[in-house]
Amino acid sequence: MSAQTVAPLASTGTTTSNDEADSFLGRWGALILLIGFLGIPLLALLVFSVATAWSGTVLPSGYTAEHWIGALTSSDVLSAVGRSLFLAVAVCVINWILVIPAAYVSVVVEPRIRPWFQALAVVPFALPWIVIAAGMQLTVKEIAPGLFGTVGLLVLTLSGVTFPYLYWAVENSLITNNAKQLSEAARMSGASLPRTLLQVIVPAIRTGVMSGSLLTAASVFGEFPITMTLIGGGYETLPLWTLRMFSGRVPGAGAELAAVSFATFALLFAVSLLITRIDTATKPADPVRPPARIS
Amino acid sequence: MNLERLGRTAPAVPLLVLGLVCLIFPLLVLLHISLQVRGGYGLGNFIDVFSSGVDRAALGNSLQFALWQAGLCVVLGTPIALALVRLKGRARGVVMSFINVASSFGGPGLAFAFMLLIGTTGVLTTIWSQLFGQAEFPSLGSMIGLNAIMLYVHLPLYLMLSLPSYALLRNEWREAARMSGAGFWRFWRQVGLPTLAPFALGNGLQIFMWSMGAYAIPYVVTTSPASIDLISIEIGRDLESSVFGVERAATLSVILMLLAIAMMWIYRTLQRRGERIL
Repeated sequence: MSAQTVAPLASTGTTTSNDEADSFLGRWGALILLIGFLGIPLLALLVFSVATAWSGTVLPSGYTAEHWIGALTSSDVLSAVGRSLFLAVAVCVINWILVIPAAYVSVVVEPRIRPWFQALAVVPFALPWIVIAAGMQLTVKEIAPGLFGTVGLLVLTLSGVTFPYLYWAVENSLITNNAKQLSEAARMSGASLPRTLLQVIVPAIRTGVMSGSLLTAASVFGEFPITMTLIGGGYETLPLWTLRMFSGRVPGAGAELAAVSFATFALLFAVSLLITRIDTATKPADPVRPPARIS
Repeated sequence: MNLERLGRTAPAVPLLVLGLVCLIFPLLVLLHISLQVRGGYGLGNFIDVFSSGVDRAALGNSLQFALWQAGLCVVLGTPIALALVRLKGRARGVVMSFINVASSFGGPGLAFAFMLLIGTTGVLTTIWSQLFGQAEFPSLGSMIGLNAIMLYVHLPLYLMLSLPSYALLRNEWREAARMSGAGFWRFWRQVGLPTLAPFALGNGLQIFMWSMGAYAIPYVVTTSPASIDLISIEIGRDLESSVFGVERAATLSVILMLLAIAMMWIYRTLQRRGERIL
């Protein structure tokens, strides 16, 4: 390849050289491997969920929609979904109330408190959530044992660990939308702070709020270590339901587990496409936004 | 800070309180418990942990597992990330969404999917034994099995971390290198890799740390006695049963915490170095 001499000017920007052809091949090869690795387990879940029996053979012996109907009408599944959705919505609402004013203050009013929030936001990103769960459990058992195992404590802890998703999205939106000028204009025309926030700032940053909230909700919906440690089987969310099905004490649970897992992936995929749509519509200047983290 | 200013920062206070209550205070409590010994403060709990065979093995397994995950992500993820960066338009959006969801799909459902593939009666196991005779894949709870499953979560995470920095590798550099006669390999050896190395290492570190704390998947697949034991799972088990008392859980947590702080510091240093080049 070093035999190649200076490329003629006319060919710059086109993909005619051998090198480019190689990297073209490598590019698609890499992507196909990736999609294969990520897609095959999903395919296995889908096939198992519609199989009458599938064990020790290459293909199932027959197909049925029974497991899907069973899973989607099971009261255990529906109430687990309900609990997970409730947690996701509760955490989002708490985070809206706490994060939006705080991000506003740190961008517009008093930039000196920004490093505080940035330092706090690093904690759940750098530290394993099981460590935070351990800290919370031992703290509560020591100080307020009555709180242990309550939904309130779970919501509070989940709000704490997921606040950075919303904080980063909102802070970023405030900066790109010139929140400082917007709020100065609003204050000059005599609007109070709550009114400025609700009628000027929030509408301007709504896409940031949306994408941050979706990340928060997706992350709460699948959360395992904190839920398991702080409340456990007493409040069976969807991930805890899948755990009970996996441990195999329920006969025939595998197919329902497969159906629900596949459906969850599909649902989150739809949500994620939505986030991408929102993000490309606003084109944030944010250099790095950490992904939602669940495991 | 005068009184008026204090009043204007008041809306930020509730979040600060939430952060302190949920993220800082519990860590201080962990530190406090881990340093408690009979009759005062001391390092007794840490000495106990490091002199126990079970705990040393768990720590060793966790470190080995995390190193494998970080290494696999850097080696496999870097070429994939470079391929993804050059993907354009709608296809990119769809692939990114897929990766995003896969990165958060680490629960019993994913473990079950791998059981359907490489479990004792799994479809890949069956195909393999029909082609090459009787075979048994490593169990899901073994070092290899766990690495295979967790790569499903960590490889997409690595890609999402890498893309913003890899996109900074400018096309003009490639052009310039080609204009001055550098081929594909020469460009990568002398320009591409040195530029990307700080980012790849930094993101690898991040994966290392997340692997140290991986919980849901190891929780469900390492239940059999033949499985490997991880430090995160030991913490969870202690919290559920408290046979060993809370000191051990707190001490193991503090060890993970100190490791995380060290990793964060190295990560920051690497990121800063990477940004200086660009």
